[in-house]
Amino acid sequence: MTVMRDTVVKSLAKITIQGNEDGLIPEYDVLENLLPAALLNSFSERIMAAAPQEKKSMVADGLVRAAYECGYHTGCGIITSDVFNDVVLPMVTEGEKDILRGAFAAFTAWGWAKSGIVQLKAGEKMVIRANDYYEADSGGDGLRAYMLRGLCQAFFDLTYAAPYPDGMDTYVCQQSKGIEVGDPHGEFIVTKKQAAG
Amino acid sequence: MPNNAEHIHIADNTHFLKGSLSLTNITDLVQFLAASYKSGMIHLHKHPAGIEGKIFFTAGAITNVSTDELSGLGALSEIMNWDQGEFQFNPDVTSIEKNVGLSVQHAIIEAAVLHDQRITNKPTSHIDITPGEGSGEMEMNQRDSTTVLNDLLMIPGIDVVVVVGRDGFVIESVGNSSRVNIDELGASLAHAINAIEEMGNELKVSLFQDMFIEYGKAVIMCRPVGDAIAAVTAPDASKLGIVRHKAKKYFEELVLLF
Amino acid sequence: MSLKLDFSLDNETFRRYLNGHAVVMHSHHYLALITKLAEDLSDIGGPQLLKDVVEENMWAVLHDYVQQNDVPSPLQRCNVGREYYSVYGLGKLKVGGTENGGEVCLVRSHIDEGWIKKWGRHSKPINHFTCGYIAAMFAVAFNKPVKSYTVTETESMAVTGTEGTFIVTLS
Repeated sequence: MTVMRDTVVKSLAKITIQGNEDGLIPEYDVLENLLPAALLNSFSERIMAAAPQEKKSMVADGLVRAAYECGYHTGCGIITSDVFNDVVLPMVTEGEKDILRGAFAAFTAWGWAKSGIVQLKAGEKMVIRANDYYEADSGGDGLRAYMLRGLCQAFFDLTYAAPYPDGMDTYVCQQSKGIEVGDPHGEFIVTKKQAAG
Repeated sequence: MPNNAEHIHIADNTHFLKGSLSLTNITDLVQFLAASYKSGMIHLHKHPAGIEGKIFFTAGAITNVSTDELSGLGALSEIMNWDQGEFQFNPDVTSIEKNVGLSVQHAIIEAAVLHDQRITNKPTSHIDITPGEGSGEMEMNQRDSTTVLNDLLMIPGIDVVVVVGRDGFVIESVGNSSRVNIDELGASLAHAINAIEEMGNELKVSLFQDMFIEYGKAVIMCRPVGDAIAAVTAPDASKLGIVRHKAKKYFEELVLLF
Repeated sequence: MSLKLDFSLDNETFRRYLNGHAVVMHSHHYLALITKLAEDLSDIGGPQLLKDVVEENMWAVLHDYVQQNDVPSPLQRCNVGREYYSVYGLGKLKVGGTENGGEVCLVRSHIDEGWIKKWGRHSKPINHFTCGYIAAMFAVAFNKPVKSYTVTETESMAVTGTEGTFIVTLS
């Protein structure tokens, strides 16, 4: 037995969230929001377009960073949540690998990306393929699934780096294919971050 | 051992079917004759080497195979790879000596295994990869998975190829998948494989290697490829032998990609 | 709440929709860092760009809603915007005003409270997102196009830790 993606997706997809009486969504140890995907895509597209050439990479890094920190902190809340405990953990037989399988099933169920693991070398490398993701609809040039890059990196850090919250920035994710540039799917490769210098 | 004429009893030498090996796949021909429950002999001449070969059937089963140099499954394995020459089927010709005695499907699979073993022992292989490397590595000279899957799809008899993660994630699929829900297929395969692997563990037998599921005429064939599972669907189960034979090298290539 | 909420799911892609618009869940870390990115790019108009993007996109969502549900009065339309804000998890607004402008009090705020959770109080207002949102809300309420209103955050929850105030003026 391993984590069965369809079971996780079907269970988690039923969950809908919306603001409470204060208009807030406190879940997974963070405040959640539920925003139009078009708004987020539009911001990425326009801030990248507005940035001068010498700042484009800094802006792209900033967009990845936003998703990365979101994914790292929220991800910790997700994989320690009751729903993850109830749905995913009973199927975990392969340790970290199964936790990651569960995490990517959750990515799918919650509409971030219909994605899963293609290759996994524990603690070293992970290749993710996404057959659908909302950033694929974004305008702009080049590979631009900033959010998904950040999330892939965050979940690999959560799984294989030092325990939360000390494992940040151990790994890095690069996008190698993108639906937004005409590839049949998005592909994301997480590897260990090279030491600076 | 060369075939010996005295082992052959000729009941009727009427020419029934003949043609060129460059136009007819010998494996397909053998399967066709077997499916028709024929008895007789396929007489082959390989060009330009001038080697002769004979395949005898009795009621759809292969009973005897020989070439000038080989006999039995070794000969069948050799003949299956002849692509230049002529063949002629002579009905009701039987062989007294039995050197195979397997169903056609079984014989083809065994011959394919023999062929692959020979290929593996040669210094060069059909595909530019090094079997046995770690499945987690992606080398620069590897073909991408889409190319390999499309090559698999070119094999006659295969209509869908899908690669599924152990969790049921459909990593990639090609082919006429509109008639199946590919996500459901992925989930079903993963559930089935996991159950089979659990059974293997319980029984303390070797790791799962192949799974064939027949549904009426159709068949699904699955193999582990690295950490994933590759499956092909063939609407005509009688093609399983050739499908399995021809798909093998591509499955090996996929092992390196997943 | 009078807002009609139709949550749906695409069973093929698993994308989620609220009243026909694709929505996605993120946390306060995400919006805090998006806000900070806009701030860091002040030299190229980052904060204004964020306001504009929010206004244009929220105007489309709110406009679709009031059209599809035949919401007749500015008060009711304004209420649609106020309630949507809370459904999105962005916080709680108190709205007062006319076609010529008004004042909006931010009682609870995902962005400000998220900012404070992440980095503590700030020295200046940062809720550009809500400025854009309020501009869209007023424009839809009074049946005007985008860019009809200018919104300024005069008091900031991120600064004071209490409530935020936004002044709305007709452009």
